[in-house]
Order: sequence, then C-alpha cells, then structure tokens
Amino acid sequence: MLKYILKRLLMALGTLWVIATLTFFLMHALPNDPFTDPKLKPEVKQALRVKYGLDKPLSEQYIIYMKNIAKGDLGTSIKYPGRSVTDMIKQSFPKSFALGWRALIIAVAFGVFLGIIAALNHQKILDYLSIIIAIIGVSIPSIILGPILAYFFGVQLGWFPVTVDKTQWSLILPSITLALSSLATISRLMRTTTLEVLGQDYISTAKSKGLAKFQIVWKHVLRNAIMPVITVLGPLFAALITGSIVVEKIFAVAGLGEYFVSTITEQDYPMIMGITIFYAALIILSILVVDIIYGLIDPRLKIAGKGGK
Amino acid sequence: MTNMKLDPSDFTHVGKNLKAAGEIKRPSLSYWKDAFRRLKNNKVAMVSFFVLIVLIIMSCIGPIITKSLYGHTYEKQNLAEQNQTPIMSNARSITLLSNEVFKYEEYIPNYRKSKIKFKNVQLKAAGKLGFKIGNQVDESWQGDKKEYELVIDVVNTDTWGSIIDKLNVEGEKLLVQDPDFRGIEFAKKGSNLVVETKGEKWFNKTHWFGTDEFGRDLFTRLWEGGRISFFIAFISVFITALFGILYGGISGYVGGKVDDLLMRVVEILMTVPDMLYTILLLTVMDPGIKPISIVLIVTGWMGTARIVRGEVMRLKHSEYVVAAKALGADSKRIILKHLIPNTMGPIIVDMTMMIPKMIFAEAFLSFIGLGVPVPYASWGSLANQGAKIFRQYPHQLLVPAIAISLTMFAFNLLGDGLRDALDPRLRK
Amino acid sequence: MKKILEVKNLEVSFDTYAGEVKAVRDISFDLYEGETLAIVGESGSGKSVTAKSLMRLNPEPPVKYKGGQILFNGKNILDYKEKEMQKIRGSQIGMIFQDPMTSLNPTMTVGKQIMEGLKKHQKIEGAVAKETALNMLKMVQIPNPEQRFHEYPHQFSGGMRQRAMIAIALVCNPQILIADEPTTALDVTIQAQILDLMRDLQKKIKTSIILITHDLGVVAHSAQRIIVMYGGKVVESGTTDEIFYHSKHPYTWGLLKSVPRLDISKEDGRLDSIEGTPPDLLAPPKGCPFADRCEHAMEICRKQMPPQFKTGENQYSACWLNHELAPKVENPNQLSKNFSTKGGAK
Repeated sequence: MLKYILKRLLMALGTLWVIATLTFFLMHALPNDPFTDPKLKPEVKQALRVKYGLDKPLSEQYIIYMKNIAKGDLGTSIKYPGRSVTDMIKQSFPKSFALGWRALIIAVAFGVFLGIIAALNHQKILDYLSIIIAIIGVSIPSIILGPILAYFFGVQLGWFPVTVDKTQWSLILPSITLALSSLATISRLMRTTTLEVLGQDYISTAKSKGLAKFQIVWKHVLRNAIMPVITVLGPLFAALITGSIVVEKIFAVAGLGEYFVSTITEQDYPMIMGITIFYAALIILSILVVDIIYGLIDPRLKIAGKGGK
Repeated sequence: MTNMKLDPSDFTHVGKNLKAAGEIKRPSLSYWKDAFRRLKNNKVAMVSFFVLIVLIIMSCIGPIITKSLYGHTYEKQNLAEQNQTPIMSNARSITLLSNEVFKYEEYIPNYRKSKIKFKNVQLKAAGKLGFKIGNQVDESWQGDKKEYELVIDVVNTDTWGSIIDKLNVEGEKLLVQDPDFRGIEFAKKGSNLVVETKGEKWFNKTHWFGTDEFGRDLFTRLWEGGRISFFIAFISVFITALFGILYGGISGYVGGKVDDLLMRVVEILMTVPDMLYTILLLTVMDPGIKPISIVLIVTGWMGTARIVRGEVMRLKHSEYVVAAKALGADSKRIILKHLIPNTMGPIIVDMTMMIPKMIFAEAFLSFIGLGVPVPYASWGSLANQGAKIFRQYPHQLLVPAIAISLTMFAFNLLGDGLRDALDPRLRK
Repeated sequence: MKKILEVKNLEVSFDTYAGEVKAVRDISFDLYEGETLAIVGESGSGKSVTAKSLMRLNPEPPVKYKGGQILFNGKNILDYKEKEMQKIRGSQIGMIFQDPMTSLNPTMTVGKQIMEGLKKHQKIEGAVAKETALNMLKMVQIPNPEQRFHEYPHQFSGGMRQRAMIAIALVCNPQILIADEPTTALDVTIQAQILDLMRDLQKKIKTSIILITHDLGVVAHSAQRIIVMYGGKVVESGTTDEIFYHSKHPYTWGLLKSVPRLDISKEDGRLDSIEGTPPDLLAPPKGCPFADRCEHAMEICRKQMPPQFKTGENQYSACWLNHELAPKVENPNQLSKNFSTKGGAK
C-alpha cells in the first residue's frame, strides 16, 4: 500500500517537473519580446531585461525559475509590475473554488444516482430520460448552455439572480452549469458499469440468498460499479477547471478562470505561465488524491500491498 | 399424449438425418456485413448519420446559394442591415417620452423594443404621461420613417384602470388617423404595466438566419463557419489517427522494452492537462486554422495510440502463434491482413468520438479569444459573439448553438451506434 | 420417503428478438427427502433453466413460465410474488453456481457474504452470526477459518472458493441445495473433494441435493437418481444403477459411450461422440427431439413425441423402441456390472 502511494507521489512530482520545464521553454520560444512598447528607450529595455533576469543564459534562467517555483514564487506580471502571480491567485481562486466544490458534489451525487436509476430501469422510460440528460450535458457546451440557462432561469423566470453576489442562492445556477457536462459523463459511465455489474454471477448469488433488490444494489452493485467512476474523477477536475473559465465569464464571477482569460488577451506571459502551472499542480494533486482513495477502496490493491496471499 | 392407433409400418427404420441435425438455422455473415446490418438497424444512429450528412452538405453549398441569390459573403458588412432577426416584424419601437405619473422598479424592453414591461408600478402624481412610437433613424429599414407621440393627461382621480383605458383610447385614435401606425396595446398584468406595439410578422427574405451586429448575413457565416469547424475537426482527427496508429502499432507490434518506453512517454504526456497546453501553445503561435489544428493533434494522438497498441497486443497473442508456426514466412502478410481489419473497429469508433471533442475544443478556444481570426467565422467564434448579446438578440447565439449541439449530439449517437455495431461480442 | 419437490408439466420459454425459444417443454420429476438427484444433459438441453426455475432466478422478462407447477412443500411457487420468493431463497432452497471465481463479490469479505443470509432470514447479527459463519467455514473444511473469515475471494484458491459458496448456500440449513455444474470449473483432483464434501454435509444437515451436470463421472460418484434431459424434455429417468446398466434410450447410450475410458482400448484410439447438434428450440421438432441424430430412428419417431414408457422399477424412458411393435434393440456398448461406478477417490 505504501509502495503504491509512493509510486504515485513520484509520478505526480515527475509530471509537475515536466510541465514546469515545458512551460519554461515554451515561453522562451516566443518570437516576440515582451517589451514591445516602442516608447521604451533601449537602455530602459535593457534595464528591464536585467531586472527580470532575461539577460542571463537560458540554463541559468531555468535554474532560477525552478528554484522560485519550489519556493512558491510563480513570478510577477509584466503588464502590471508589482503584481505577483501568487497574489492574484490568492485573491481570485477562492471564488472559483466556491463554485468548484459545489459543482463537484452536484456532478458526483446526481451523476451516480442517475446512472444507477438508468441501469436498473434498462430500456424503460427512466433509462431513456437519463440518457437524454447525459447526451445534452455532453453535447451542449457550457458556452451555449450557460447564457441560455441564465436567460431562462434568471431573467425570464426570475428564480435565480444572473450574477453572483454574496448569497448562497446566487451560486446555484453557475454551479449547476459547471457541473452539467461532468454530471453527464459520470452518469453515462455509471450506467455502463452498473449494467455490467448487474450481469455478473455474484449478483445471481446474491439473489439466490433471497436478498431484496435494494439490499443487492446497495451492498453488491454500488461498491463494484463505482470503481471505474472513481478513476475518472481525477481527469474530471481538469474539465471543471476549463469549465470554470467559461462559467465565470458568463456569470461575471471574479474568479481565477475569468482572470486567466484576461491575461491571455493581454498577453501577460509570466501571469499565463504562473497560472498554468498552478492549474496543472491542482489537477495533478487531485489525480494523486483520487489514486490514493482508489487504492484504499479496492481490496485487491489493499491486500496486495500488505503482502497477502 | 395421443392415443393414436399405431401399426407396424410406423416402426420402419429410418436412421439418422444429420443434415437436419447439423443445419444452422440462421445464415452466418462476415464481420463487416454483420456490423453494417446491426448499424442499419440502429435507427438512432442512422438518423444521426443523415443529419450529419445534411449539415456537411449545407456547409459546402450553403454559402454558394446565398452568394448566387443575394450576393452575400461571410465578410460583407452592411450596417444598414445590422442585427436583423430571422423573423421580422414591423411592430414599431416604443420608448417612454415623459413620465410624471408613476414610478417603477425595473424597465424591461424586449429586443426589438416593441414591448416594454414596467415592473412593480406605483402611481405617484398627476401629470402628463407620454410615449414615443417609431423611430425615424433606427427603423428606416421598415420602409417608412414615421414617428408618433401618444400623450395623455392623468388626474388625481385616475386609477390604473382608467389610465389604461385612456391610453388605449388614444392609441385607437392614432390608428384611425393613420393605419400605418399599426396599433398599440396597454395592459396591467399583476403589478406590472406592459406596453406592446402591434404589427405583422414574416420570415426574413434576404437574410434567412438574420444578421449580426455588422450586418453580415448569418446564414452564410454559419455555413462558412461550418466549413472551417468541420475542416479543423476532420483534419485534426485524421492526422491524430495516423500518428496514433503508427505510434501504437509499432509499440504493440515490437513489444518488449521498446513498448515499455513508448508507453511510459505516453503516460506522462497524458497526465499533462491538454486544455492548458492548448492554451499555452496558442498564445505562443499566431492564431489561425493551422495552429489550431496542430495544437489539437498534439494533444489528441495519445488516446488513439493507446487503443491501437492494446488491440495490436491482443491480436499478436491470438493470431501470431498460429500464423507464425503454420505459415512461416507468410506470417507478416497474414498479420497485416488480419491486424488491419480487426483493429479498425475500435479505431473508427475512437475517431468518431474524437470529432465532437475537437469541435468543442475549437469552440472553447474561440470563447477565450484564441480561435480563428476575424473576419473568418467558425461555429465557436459565432457562438462567442452571440453569447455576448444573447439577451438582446438571442438568434445570434441560438443559430450557431443549434448547429454545434446538433453536430455533437449526432456524432455522439453515431459513435455509440458504431461501437455497438462493431463490438464482436454482441454478434448474434 | 417424503416428497419435497414435485415438478409437474413445467414449460418455460424465452422471448427473444427472433421469436419464442421453448427451453423447457413439459417436464415432470420429483425430489425426495435426503436424496441426491442428478439432472444430466448437454448445453441447450434445458437443465440450467430448469434449475433456475426452481428458485425463480430466471430474469422474468424475457423468461415466461408458460405452464405447469412447481410444488414445494405443497405450494406452487410459480404463483409466488417476488417478496415471497425472497423468503424461500437462501433459507429453504440454496444454490451454488458453476464458476466460484465470478460468483463471489470481489469487494466483500467472505465472512460477510456468509453472514448476509443469516441476517436476512434468521435475523441473527453480530457475534452470534459470526460464530455461526465460522462453524460453517469449519464444516466445509476450510483451514484457518478465523483468518479466512476476514479475507476476500481473490485470496482463496478455486477449490476453497467453491467451499465458501457451499457454506453460503447451506448456512441457513435449506431443505434443497441446487448445485449447477459445481465441479466443471475446478481441477479434477479438487472435484472429488468437493463432491465428497457435499455428500458429507448432506448426511449432517439432511438436505436434498439437485445436481446439474453434463459429467457422468460426477453423477456416478454422487447421485442416487438421474434424469436425462435433451431438447427441453426428459428423455429418461431412473436410479443410477438402472440408467448406467439398463438404459433403454439411445441418447443415454451415446452419453455413456462418450465417457473417456482407460480400460477399453479402441483400434483407432478416437473418442466417441454423438454426431450432430441439439435441435433449435425456436422451432422445436414435432416428434422425438433426438430423432435426427439417432441411428435407430423410425418413422414414428419423426412424427410423434414418444410417451414415458416404464422400463424398470423406478425407470422411465421416452423412446419408441420400448413400444411393443418396435424392433428389439439393445445398447451395443452396455456396461458390465462388474465395472464399479462407485468408489475411486476418497
């Protein structure tokens, strides 16, 4: 078990290193000079270069860069000198997180539930209904769904406020929009795995013991069917992050995603780099956590680590 | 059981009838024929397929139709025709001219400004209440450039009921004087005051899907965008598949340490979140169709590689032994003849499911501002523009939205159908 | 002896996309207290469907019980609702399945899986349940029961898993144990152990066993009575001795002949098999289902289903050869009584 965790941890760190390196080299492959303002005199440009360490050889810059990351310093903005990446992240990420964890819970809870209901009512109405919801969630990107939902539920019906404010209520619509595509993926997957599990022999055994349907689903089906869904949770995080970029723009949330888009438009390279590394670290961390949880739940992995039979 | 009378002739010996005993009642089909048959039976998949064919054909000929009919192109601007809707209405616009009489919580016009909802109105004083109907400048496209004023006097004894009546009477008078006025209606719905001008509706004859804020024809732009979106998606998927097949095929076929190494690389690359990489790469390169395709390919080939490698390994262990031992030198040819048809199934399914992912990725990039450059249109950039003024002119979002959603829907269903049809385990 | 189970004129069909498949076509048999009854046949004969029908384990669409009765303790279980069936399953009738590897829940400890039945039917929980489960593990001769109790199925060997299955099925002392091909997925050396275990338990707990199999060696070892099924029908039934030494049905002769034997050497060294394949039950034949593959087939065989002729004290054979007008035909490979079919492995 410990070996398993260690191995995963190493892979995570390794990947993070690869990403940081790739980002570094990408940024330095830029054809344009970040200091393109023609008003700057050459001496000033040179001074700026020295300040940002851009005059040193590439390998030295790389080492400085890596050291800084290890310290937690992701750089400072070029367009707005004085603003550090870490500061901006600290400021805007909590708002994104508020949406994120709510969306995650909605996606997992409803996704699993819908999936099981669909499988248990295979090829009957409830099944088709959940398939339709799943396909809508997968086919209609949040770019389109977001404004439509905001318009109907926010403006026309007036149930939710269209922009986010201090209230819990206002967070619901954006959370649901964010959750929708993940919900669809989870429910589709859950449906497939549940159907597979239902066809397994040990379900016949459970039936032959005289257990009621509910008991069979709860004790035998759920535990087995949910395994593949857990493995999908890690990459789901990545989807939530890209989704948050869209949702924050539509619902005017001052979160990290929305800020990220503006840095792209402004071409503030250190910012873009820094935030990318932050996002990447988040995703890798969540994959690691999911892997560990999976290892704890799957008895085959649990026992193998203990050196069982 | 029957109590039939039996006689010795019934007991004459006839022996075995192995033809009947060995007969297979259902004809056996080859793998592809069987898969094709199953796919044809899947109505949903077939409908999706036809929808996609229609969409693709329209992308090809749509712009040509409108060019020959009306001379529209995707970039021709005509500010006089901006923001037209697919369904036109000659109901005039209406604005509040003077109001000393009531206060309200919210002022909500519709996107044509032909209807206003005053939310939660409350009478406050007597005085003049006036509306301006029609707008010489804005509505010159209507053909006439007429403006009207409707003013009433409100006194202290007036209630909402009597005010509404007075307003409607005034409206009637204007209509009688000049039929071009086309009428107006005032009503009180609950605590809201609703004012609406009347008119006829008809389909926009020159701009079937309306226009955008620069007066560009949306129908043309939609299908031009379709060309670009489909092009990007198909090219990316195709090249991704090529890379993937090559990489995965070699890895699976050669096996051993080479396979280990190649797969390690893929594993590490796969944990890198692709969206982030797409964004980074695009900020480095200048925007355009080629860079977008390149980026999509770079982030997509790994999934295909894995699938291909898995299939090759599976086949290697089943066919290889037989082929190698029994046929000696011919084994390579046999493997090629067996490998390709047998791995094609999952590869085709994978490619079909990748297309909607590509379309979505392109839409997402457009949303962020990293999509195709102006004035080119792709469905993603059209959706992005439309999303901005959705409240005012919903058709500008709905048109590309329906196109995108329909395409993704159809590809997903088709992909599901293909997966079921090509799965050899489901053979009956 | 007391009759525990009476199956009368059972008919079971499947609704498939191609039509109605008549899997079981009017069969009848009885089960007595304390005996082991073997149901023998090839795949497609209807034996598995019959076994599952006794517990109504077949998925109820597409399966339909078109006729007949299954009388268990006097009541027809085909009339029972699902909730009533749940009371019987696991407590009065238990079942073990063919593949012990896939028949146990991989994410639940073996101990818990045994206790589930106790909790449901006897409302026993906690320490008492654990005690009972441990006793069960001891009874099925699993070594180190205290440790094994907390382990998962993948930590057991194939033979041990099947023992665990038996423990699960018998923990509530059911009146009937249905064993659906219990040894088919096991090594030959383990097979005998499992069969002996079942026999011992039968004496202790006094259950009746219905043994479904296609392996005549297993039958010889364990069963007192045999039913031979083919094409959805019972073609012969009787005691083990009667079937092995006095069979009056060509299909049974073919089955007996195709058992590989070490003592008889053949000139060509080939195994005997019955030529041809079982009938298509979508369109079952009018007459005897075996007629097309039978070298003794007669006109009447193709036209009409033979009735059950009484051919021994407890033996019935559904074959026209037993009619008075038919030519006298003997089993060309009749086993001699000197060759013992019992004994062998401990």
